[in-house]
Amino acid sequence: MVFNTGAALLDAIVLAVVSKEVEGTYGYKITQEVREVIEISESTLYPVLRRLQKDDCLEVYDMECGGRNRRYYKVTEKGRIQLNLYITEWDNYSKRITMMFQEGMNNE
Amino acid sequence: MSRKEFMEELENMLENIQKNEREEALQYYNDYFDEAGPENEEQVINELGTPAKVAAIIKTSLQENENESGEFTERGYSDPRFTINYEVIDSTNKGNQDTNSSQNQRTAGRERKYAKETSGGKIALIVILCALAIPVGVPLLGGLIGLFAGVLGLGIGIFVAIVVLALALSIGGVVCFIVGIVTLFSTPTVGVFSCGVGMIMVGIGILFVLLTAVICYKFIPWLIRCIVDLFRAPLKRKETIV
Repeated sequence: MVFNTGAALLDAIVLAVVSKEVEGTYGYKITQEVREVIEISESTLYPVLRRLQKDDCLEVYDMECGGRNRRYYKVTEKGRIQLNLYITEWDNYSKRITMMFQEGMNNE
Repeated sequence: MSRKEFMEELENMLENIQKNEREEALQYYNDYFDEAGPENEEQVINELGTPAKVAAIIKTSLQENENESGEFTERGYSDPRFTINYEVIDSTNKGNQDTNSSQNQRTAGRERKYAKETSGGKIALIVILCALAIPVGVPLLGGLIGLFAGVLGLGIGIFVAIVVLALALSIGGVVCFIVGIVTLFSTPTVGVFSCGVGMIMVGIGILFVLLTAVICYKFIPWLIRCIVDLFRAPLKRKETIV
C-alpha cells in the first residue's frame, strides 16, 4: 500500500468495524477486520481502541464467553456521531480526489 | 517465545506507566491471545512483534494523550502519516465547524486544536509585527501625510494667488485707465501715463484670468484623474493577477 492511513482515518475504520456489530465486538476480531482493509501492524490497534475508549467514542463491557470473560467494544452515541462525521468527510475527500484523477486521465 | 514469556516481558516493559493503563493493556493482550486461540499463538506473537515494540507503542500513545490534555505539541508524532492527516482533517473540519461544534468530539477536536494554534500563532505574529512597526510606521505615515498636506497647501496657495492677481490687475487696470482719462484733461502727461499703465495691468490681468481658466478646466481635472489612478493602481494589478 503506497498510501498512509492517518490517525483520523484509522479511527474511522475502527469505528466502522465496531459499529457493524450491534452487540459489540472484541479486540482480536476488530484487528482482523481492520487488517482486511488496510495494512496495519497488529500492535497498532490497541492504542487506537484505548484512545477511542478514553474519548468516549467506544465503551467496553465484559461478557462471559466460553467460560471466561471477554472484553467487548461497542460504539457509543458520541462515537456514532463521530463516525458519521468521518464518513461525510471521507465521501467529500475521496470524491474530490477521484474527480481530480479522472480529469487528469481525460486530458491524456 | 511463548505467550507466557511474551506477556511477562510486556508486563516488565510497562512497569513505569500508570497502574490502570498497564492493567488495561495487559488485559487487552491477554484477551487477544485468548481470542486468537492457542493454534494462532505463534502467529500472533510474530505479528505483534517484540514485547518491547508493543510496549513502546503503548507508551507513545499515552504520551500523546497527556500532551493532548495539556498544550498541544503533537509534533512528537514521528510518523509522517499523522502530519498528512492533519491537513486533510483541518480543511474539512473548518467547513464543518459550525454544524458539528455542538458535538465537539475529542478526536476531531485534537486536529482542530492544532489548526487553531497555527492560525493563532500567525495572528500573534502579525500583531507583533504591527507593534514593532509602530515606532517606525507612525512617524513615517505622519511625515507622508504632512508632505501631502504641504504640497496640497502650496498648490492651493499658488492657485489663490493667480486668481487674486487676475482680479486685482484687471480691476486695478480698469481703475487706472479711468483715472488716467479723468486726469488727461487736467494734466495730460500724467493722464496718458496712467492710461498706459492701466492698459498694461488689464492686459496682464487678462493673461492671469486665462491662466485661471486653464487651471480650472484642464489642470484640476487632470490632477484628480492622476490621483484616482494612483489609488486604483494596486487594485488594478490585483485584478490582472486574478
